[in-house]
Amino acid sequence: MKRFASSELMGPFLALLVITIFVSLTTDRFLDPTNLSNLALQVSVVAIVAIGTTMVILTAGIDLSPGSAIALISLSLALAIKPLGIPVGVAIVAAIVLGALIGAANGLIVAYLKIPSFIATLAALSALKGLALLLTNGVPVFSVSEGLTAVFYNDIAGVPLPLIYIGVCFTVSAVLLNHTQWGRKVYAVGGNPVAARLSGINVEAIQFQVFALAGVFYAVGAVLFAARLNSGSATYGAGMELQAIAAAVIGGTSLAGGRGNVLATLMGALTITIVQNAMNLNGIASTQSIIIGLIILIAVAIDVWRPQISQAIARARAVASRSTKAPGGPDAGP
Amino acid sequence: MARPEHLTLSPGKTPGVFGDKPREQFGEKALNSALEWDLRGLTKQYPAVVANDDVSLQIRSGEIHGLLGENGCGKSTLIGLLSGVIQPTSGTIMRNGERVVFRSPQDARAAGIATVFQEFSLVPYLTVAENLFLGQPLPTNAIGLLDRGALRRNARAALAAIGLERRISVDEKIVSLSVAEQQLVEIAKAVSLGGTTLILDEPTAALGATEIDTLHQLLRRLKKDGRSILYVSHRLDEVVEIVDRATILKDGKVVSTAEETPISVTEIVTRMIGANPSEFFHHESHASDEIVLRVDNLRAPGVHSASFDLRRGEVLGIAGLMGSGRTEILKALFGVEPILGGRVELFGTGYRPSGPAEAIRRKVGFVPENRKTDGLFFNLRAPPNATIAALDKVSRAGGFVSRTIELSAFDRLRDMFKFPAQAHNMSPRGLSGGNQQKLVLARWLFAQSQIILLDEPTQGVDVGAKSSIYDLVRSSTADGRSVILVSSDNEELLALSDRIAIVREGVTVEILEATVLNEHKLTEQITGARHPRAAPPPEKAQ
Repeated sequence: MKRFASSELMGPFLALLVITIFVSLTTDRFLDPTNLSNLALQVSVVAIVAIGTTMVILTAGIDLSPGSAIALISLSLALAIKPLGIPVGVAIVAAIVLGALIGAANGLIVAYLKIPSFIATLAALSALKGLALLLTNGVPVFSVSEGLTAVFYNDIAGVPLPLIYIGVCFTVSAVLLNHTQWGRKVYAVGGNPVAARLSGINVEAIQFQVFALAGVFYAVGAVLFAARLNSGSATYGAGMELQAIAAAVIGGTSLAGGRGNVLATLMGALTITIVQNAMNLNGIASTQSIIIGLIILIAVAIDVWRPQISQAIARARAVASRSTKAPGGPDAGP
Repeated sequence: MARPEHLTLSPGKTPGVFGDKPREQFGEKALNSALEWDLRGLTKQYPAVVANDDVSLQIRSGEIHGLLGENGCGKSTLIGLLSGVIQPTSGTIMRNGERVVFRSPQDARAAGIATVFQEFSLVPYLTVAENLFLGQPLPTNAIGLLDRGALRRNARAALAAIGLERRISVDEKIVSLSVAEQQLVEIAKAVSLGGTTLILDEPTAALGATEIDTLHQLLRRLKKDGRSILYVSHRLDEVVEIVDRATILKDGKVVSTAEETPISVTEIVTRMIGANPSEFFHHESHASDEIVLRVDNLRAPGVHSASFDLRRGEVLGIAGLMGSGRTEILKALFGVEPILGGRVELFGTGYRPSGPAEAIRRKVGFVPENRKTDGLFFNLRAPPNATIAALDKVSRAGGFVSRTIELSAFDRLRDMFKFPAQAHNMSPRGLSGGNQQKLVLARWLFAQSQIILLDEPTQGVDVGAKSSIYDLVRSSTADGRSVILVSSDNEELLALSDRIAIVREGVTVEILEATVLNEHKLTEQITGARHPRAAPPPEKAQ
């Protein structure tokens, strides 16, 4: 618990807690079981997509392509199952491979061709969307298959599948980032690419792998998106890149790279989804984007002012400990 | 050649007196011209050090005045005082007999002082013409738009005024100019901004022999026009060619005034170093006979031909001026820059690293010159900083890093390197400069590097940390590791090295036993006093 309190999870957790309490006090139906389970389903896509975005941001990059990647993958998946008749399981595996390939293409361009990630993935945002439109001339594919919807709506022992996906994806990514050599290298590359190279790390390979792996998470998000709506469309996923970046940033991921925690991103995604949910319930959906924008601004401000804030906290602690410390009394400091 | 009217100097000066007279032993040629700058008893006191202590210096108009001394002698502070960047604790600056006070660089500029620092203030993607008039009102046409024609004409006039119109095109972008040409543009800019006194800080650090000659020609011309120049350089061979008189600083004090300083390399070196060269000289050698690294005619970017052996347990110093190729030798050996030619053998087998990763696998480690930008990860705490080059040593099967193993490994490093008790919870940002440097060094000892390349390991660290870094170097060599040490601090080179390789213009010209050297001889070797300046390198890497 002490470790948690001092870790980077604390801030996002407190933010989430405050917002949850505020929303439950002000919104009647928020705590309804149906609304809560709805919330869990809602958060799954953005949370899983945000894992990929967080990894890219940790290497000091940015990825604007996930929204269009979701459009292309969801539509490809729907087409593979419905007109082509490929079994759902095989089609899903193929969709995830497609996501990895899209991510790998981004990674190739950014890491080896040295195109800044903002530009490279902005190009991908446009190109992938165009590809998706090309596939069916913009016509969505509806009513894909019962098998596909089951992927989203079924449960295991009463636990909805999306919750299980969230659990698996976040466990895997947290272990990868926090407990493996690879994860350590991701943080090193994001923190100081020159020093990383001089420490023997293949900086380009790490950047490439991160983009490719991010593509896998986007594909998982795309599959859930398609399964939830039992359809595929070139319009799906629009704006998802910004929601995912927002989730990462609200979770405390530093856009400068090297700082952040994927579990905090989950809290960021929850925060966004709860705000959206509450505003829908209160019928003020139109101001959603404004509120989300403000939250992002606050989160980034906290990141930018981090040194000053921690100094202020240290000063406050010093004052507090001086005033509470009786002569000869136990030292309450950490 | 006609000199444009607006660029000639105020009346009363005597331009053209000093012409191209043959060089003489003592700097008396300027004696008959007017005293322009009279710095009287300038002192700059910082909380811990006195950077300038009662420094007096006179610059005559139309003279090139050398400001000389070893690293850290207070030259930069004096330049800062004269260019208004730093304000003195006490002392006065007189210009033409009147007291002036510089509260800001603008004040100094208004008084005619133009400083050309080593880091150029040119904008790379603008043209020469645009750079020359940067920050000044630009010529405009009838409807208020920029008049490019007039701008280019003005720029050409400014270049012509100092005889550079044929060397440099006003339409060229700065990025496409060589360093030497950029230097010339920088000087042209300083002059066109109305600079009558130029301060040049190490203008030749990055220049080859022919480029230095061009610079000297320009300076002689400026001098002829009556401008005075304060000239700072470490390359004494070229200093004695260009300066009229020289003032020498040591430990913040003037040790030789312009009247006392003979313009001769040997005499200058003696005064720069002082009477008792090395007070604390505690050398211990752990060198064995076994050769671990053999470098034969190595060619790499910035290195034309480097040859030396390194023995087990030996500290091989590399001495040379900034830009002489010292650092580049280390970079090539660590795989940061490609080896272009020659042969390197490491532990008896051929060695041509494809990158730092291979160098590390072959047990080579590199402590870069700038620990903040190239060495440390401020987003990670101290333990991951120390283990990053040897993650296998803190991992369980399958590539899983164990924090427990890492922390206990760091505990041992903390004892060995005397890191603060809380270091395992701290980012390197919270550590002192000395501890930061030790942390980078710890990385290579932890990775069990057998050959450690040190680039300026004690730059910007305090005396205590310096001596503990020296102890660590000595204990590493006692353990059978070998060290290649690049340093601008001659005392440090002499204190640590068994042998010292002298590098000039990318060539290892000589390798000497440290015991036969002293600071005087070493400084002479580095600055090329004993040898005429080498011919320009045959071909530069493009």
